[in-house]
Amino acid sequence: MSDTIKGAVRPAPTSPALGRDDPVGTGAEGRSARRHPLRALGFGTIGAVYVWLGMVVVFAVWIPDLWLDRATVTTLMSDYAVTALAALSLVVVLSARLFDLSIGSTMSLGGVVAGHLLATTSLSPTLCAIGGIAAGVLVGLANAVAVVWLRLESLIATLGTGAIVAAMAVALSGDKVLTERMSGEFNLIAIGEVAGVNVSFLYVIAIMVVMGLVLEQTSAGRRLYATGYNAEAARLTGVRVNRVRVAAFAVSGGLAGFAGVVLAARLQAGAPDAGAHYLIPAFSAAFLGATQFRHGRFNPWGAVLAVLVIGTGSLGLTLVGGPTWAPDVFSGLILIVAVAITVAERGPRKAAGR
Amino acid sequence: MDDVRLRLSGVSKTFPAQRALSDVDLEVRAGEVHALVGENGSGKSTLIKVLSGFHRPDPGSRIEVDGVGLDPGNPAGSLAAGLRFVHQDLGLVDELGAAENVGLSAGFEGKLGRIAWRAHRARVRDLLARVGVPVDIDRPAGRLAAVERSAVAIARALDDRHGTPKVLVLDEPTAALPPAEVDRLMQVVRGLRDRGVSIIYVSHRLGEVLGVADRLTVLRDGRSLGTFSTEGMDEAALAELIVGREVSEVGDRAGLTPVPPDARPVLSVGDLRTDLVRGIDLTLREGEVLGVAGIAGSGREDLAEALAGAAPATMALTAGGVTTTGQASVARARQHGLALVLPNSHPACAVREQSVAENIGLARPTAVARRGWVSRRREHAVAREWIERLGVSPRDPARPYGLLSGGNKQKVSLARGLIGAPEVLVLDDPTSGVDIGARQSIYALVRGLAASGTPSVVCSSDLDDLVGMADRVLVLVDGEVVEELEGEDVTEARLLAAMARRRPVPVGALAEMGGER
Repeated sequence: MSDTIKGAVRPAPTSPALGRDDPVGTGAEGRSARRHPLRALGFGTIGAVYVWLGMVVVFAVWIPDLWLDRATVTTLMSDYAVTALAALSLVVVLSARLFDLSIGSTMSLGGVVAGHLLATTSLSPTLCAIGGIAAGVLVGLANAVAVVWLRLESLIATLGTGAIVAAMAVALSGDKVLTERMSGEFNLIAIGEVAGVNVSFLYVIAIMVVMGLVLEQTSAGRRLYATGYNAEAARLTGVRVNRVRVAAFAVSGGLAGFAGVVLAARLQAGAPDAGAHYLIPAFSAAFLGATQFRHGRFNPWGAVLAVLVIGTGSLGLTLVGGPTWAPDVFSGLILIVAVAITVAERGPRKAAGR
Repeated sequence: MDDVRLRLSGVSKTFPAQRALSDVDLEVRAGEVHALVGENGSGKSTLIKVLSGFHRPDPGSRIEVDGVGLDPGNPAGSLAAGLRFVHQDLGLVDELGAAENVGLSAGFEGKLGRIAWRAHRARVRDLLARVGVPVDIDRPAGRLAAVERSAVAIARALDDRHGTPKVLVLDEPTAALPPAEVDRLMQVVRGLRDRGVSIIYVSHRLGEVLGVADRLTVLRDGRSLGTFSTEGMDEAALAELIVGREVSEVGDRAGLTPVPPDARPVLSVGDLRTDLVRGIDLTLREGEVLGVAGIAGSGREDLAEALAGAAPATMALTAGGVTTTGQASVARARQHGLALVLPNSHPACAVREQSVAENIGLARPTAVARRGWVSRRREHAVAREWIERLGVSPRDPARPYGLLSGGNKQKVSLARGLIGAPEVLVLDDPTSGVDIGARQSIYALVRGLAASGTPSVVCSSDLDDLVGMADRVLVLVDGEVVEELEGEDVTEARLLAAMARRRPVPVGALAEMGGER
């Protein structure tokens, strides 16, 4: 404050200390402030947006009749909402540097639990949906037990829990596709519309915004990232690292359960293997998303943008009459490219063998 | 026996930022133990790396083995010329036995990729017999005694498949050895010398150097001060030779005001024990900076982390008006108002990927968040305050911590410790990788903090830190306090002499060793 007053009265600062310090300070801040708007639109920050626009144009030229249609947009929004929910669930655990390979099975279990409750109880569809989410939270807690208490590598632990959870989904459903009471009110959980917009799409937007706020704007988010980047440093600054991990697994499991419920509601069927197909696209999206906006940090906006890219590519490849396996190849490629970008951004390759 | 085995003439090595070696001459005779001594950063490790071919020396440097010039900067050439190295960490694969460990680096006996185990094992046994320590060659290296591990590493270095070993370089071979096993290693070294192997022996332990070496070369600031015979030299003379300077500029004690002996104790620790520390007591008084010195393996490196609960330890801790006993933990240290500042080279010092502001805020969430919501403006304002106070450069709170230089990392690390308004600051190697200007300001800061109510415990491998900051220094040797220096007695020479002292080996332990082998 006094600096400004002094400056206003006498433009040339008399104190040598002030004269030396001030330009450095404003210079540094000015640079970082000026750097941002340009960098925010650079290919390194939102490259996926340009890739997406490019794909939209290519398909628009290639198959204008099929592509430039309202159905394309609604299919993208509703079909890929489940992928987006799965990717968002992964963002939470990956931020804490935990791998969760069980989310596919967790999604299946969520759908099957909801279907089972619909078939065997007279609970309202909403409560049945909540049951599916709760099942997901329980799977998350089981993962946490394996990783935090038994101190297993998360990759191995969730591979194991994933197999068990998949088997539980089969057992609970009697290896059948559950369809009872799935149409009607339960179906609306996925295909309902609010002001003409598909609700699944709204779930994605709402969860993305809330997650973005929590990760970026709260102490909890700071602790989550710190745990993921450097658990020991976080522990030494007083972060209860294990508590963070348990919470991350529980939230992620709940989100995966919810994704499973939405999937079951959309298909009007709780199938014991429905979630398995979402594992790789979800990982691809989470990793590609990490290269967007926040330079290597897993973040919900990037994940949703990445799902848009994967969805557009896959849908376009299907519409141009590509083979049925083309979308899988596409999302596998995205995963590899995304991780390659992350590795490249981390700096020059270290000498081999060192 | 005056023929020269290894001759270095005019060896220099310039790194982008500094000259690590300037025009070093060194002659190692056949069948002698030649010690290389000097402070941290004097150029010893650079010299070893030049010999091993890891670093390419500056043009004009010349290295000869038995009169034959060595291709500089070529590890295979060094190996073929007969230069062999045993590094401080030994480089053994803990899960594998001696037979496999030797085979991995020296190659296995056998044809077409099939290992002839019988022949290979015979060769490894033969190598170990040359070293003179009997080792079960199938026992995983991780489960061998420390001296046996050293023996395996030496045996591996002596393998002659890639040329006759002529010069063996031992880098701090006793740093990880318990005192009872040091003597055994000394016997091994003498035995090898008697077989005609020349040995370059690098160590901080002056007593050991004088005991085992025939001659020694002193390095200081990358220059050789000459080669001396160890005959008739005592530890004090050697310490003075190594330190050299009268009173170093950095370790200027002029600003230190003595702490009155009746000052209130702020922190008392009783019977602190870790893997390396064997039950020490310490008291920190109001307004004081307490230093802890000791060579690698003395327990000094454990002490700071143990106090702050970062490493496993047990102790009775009195601070902040409470006494607790038992296992150290981060929560317990925080409850007592202890804040740990790790060296900036430590992997857990701070989160590299997060910004300066995030790192500072993480250390005290209540300063930047209300009901769990972080205000980015507040976070940056708080960070900017600390940036100003400690002189972090660049003054950009949004800069990722990992992109700062060593000195600035250290300052952010300090800010992280200070933001919680601790009762006691515990610093571990606070100036590693820090340039001289930043060093001065860290010293001034720590002294200023002590004067204004936050005393510190400073554990450091750098004697300048202790001379420059500490009112009182505890010197650790083999996990016990062997000397306490105070006031004017805190000098580099005194510290070095105390650190190099060896705890006498208890007679019982000797008998045990003899009985076992």
